[in-house]
Amino acid sequence: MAASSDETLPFDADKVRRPGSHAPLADRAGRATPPSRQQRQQQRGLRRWRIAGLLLPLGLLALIEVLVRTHVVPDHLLPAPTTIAETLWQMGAARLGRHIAASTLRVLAGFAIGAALALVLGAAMGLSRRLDALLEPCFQALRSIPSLAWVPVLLLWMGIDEAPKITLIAIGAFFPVHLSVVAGIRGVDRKLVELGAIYRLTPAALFRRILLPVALPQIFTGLRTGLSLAWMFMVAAELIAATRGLGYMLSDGRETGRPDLVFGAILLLAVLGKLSDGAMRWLENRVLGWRDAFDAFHDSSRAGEQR
Amino acid sequence: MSASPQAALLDVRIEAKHYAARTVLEHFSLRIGHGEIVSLVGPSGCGKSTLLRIVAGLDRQYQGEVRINGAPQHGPSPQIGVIFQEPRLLPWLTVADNIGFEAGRDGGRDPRVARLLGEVGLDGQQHALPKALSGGMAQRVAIARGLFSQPELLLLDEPFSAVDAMTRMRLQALLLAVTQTHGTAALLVTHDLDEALYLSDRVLLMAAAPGRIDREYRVARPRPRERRDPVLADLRAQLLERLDSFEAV
Repeated sequence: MAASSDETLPFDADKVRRPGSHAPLADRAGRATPPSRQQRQQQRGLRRWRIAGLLLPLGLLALIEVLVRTHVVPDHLLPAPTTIAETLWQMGAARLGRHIAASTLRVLAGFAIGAALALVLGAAMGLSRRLDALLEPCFQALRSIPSLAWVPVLLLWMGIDEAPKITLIAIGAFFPVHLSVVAGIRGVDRKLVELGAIYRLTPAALFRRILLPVALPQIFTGLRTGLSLAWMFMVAAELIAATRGLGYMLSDGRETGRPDLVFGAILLLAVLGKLSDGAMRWLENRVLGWRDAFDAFHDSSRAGEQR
Repeated sequence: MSASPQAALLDVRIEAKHYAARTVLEHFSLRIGHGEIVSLVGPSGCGKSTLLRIVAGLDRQYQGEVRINGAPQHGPSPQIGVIFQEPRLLPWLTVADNIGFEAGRDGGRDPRVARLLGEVGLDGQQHALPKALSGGMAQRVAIARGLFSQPELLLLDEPFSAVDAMTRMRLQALLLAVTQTHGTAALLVTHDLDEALYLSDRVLLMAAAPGRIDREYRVARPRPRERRDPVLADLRAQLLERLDSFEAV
């Protein structure tokens, strides 16, 4: 059990705790430790803000509704949220589901391929200076090519099937993950590598037991960036050649002059992006529960009344 | 203290150790017997930490030889445990897994871990993460980790310099207790003369440029020692006088 307050520390002389250290919310097995009264208070205070954060977009939608209904904003530029909802409703669950499923599958496949390649290549380049010297100039050049420049090339090479779309998404997801893996491994404290030497770890064990865990927080940031770029590249791919998917919905809505369709697709993209990033964050918090990280200021303790 | 002089646990002979053009150590030799506690003190830059890195097997760029139980040493050895100035725990592992790090992924379940936890006074903390530990508790974990492979020699690089005075005294007593229990010898680098005299059988005063042993002081007092023992105070005065004479040169 982690000590949650100074009174429960077993050693009087060890009372000087590192500043900013507090009991972990969960240990490695994911078992929650009972939070102290102060933490509960903070969490209760924070929960109100979290609920407000979820209500904020709903409030904005309501405001738009009012502005459109009172003709302050013309509805051919911005349809009322209820109109958008009605359009989506009329499309029916099956058709809507097909669009969502098509886009989501492309994103997942492209992201999985791109991120997996990036992890392997990034680890290799992070571990080997020679490989890094050899490959880094190529990657620098490839990284600077704007995403849309790939579209005609991929269409030329792969036709208009699924392959070019998934490839484009994989390219988009690859670079942020690759960068984060290389930087994460390079940033590992020399002292921890020395610890590995003391325990005579083989290079593979050093990577698995020290380098990878240390680099993980940075790798997760890269994965989240890669995932959001995957959604972006999915839209780019579908705008150009597709018969289903949210990108197709966007271009279809524009061509047929239906802003409700366009905004419907945008709304769905926002929700799906939020859900996938939320899943990634959940995973990150689960895997990286050990971090003794800065947890942002709790505004209520700013004046020091809780310390 | 079963020191039989012919079979030294550690035998270090260093002809020279250079960093670029600078000679860090020259004509350095040191022998440590089984169960013996030896402290290295001296002005900064006299090569204390370099020597410790060489003995630990982390630095092999030197002319000379390190023998452990008569066998030449090549790189880090399970017979030597190392405790650093900072605890250097792996923050993603629980206390138990940190202590049993050497035994691999499930090292925390090793029966030795439970015993060591008790010895360093951390019963019940095995599931805690390092971020929940105070500085003194974290260093206790580091001591337990250093002892895990049951090494014959512990190397300690200013191990208690980052904790408050009360915690330091407790950790010193703890170190004496565990080395006695396991019959472990210790080579300790420290800036704290009181610490050196309280813990050691011998205190080696090193001189700088190039690093070498200047004097050796035997502390022939039984343990547990009284920190205000006049014999220790006398040795301390001699050490200080000698250190002051370095400054004057």
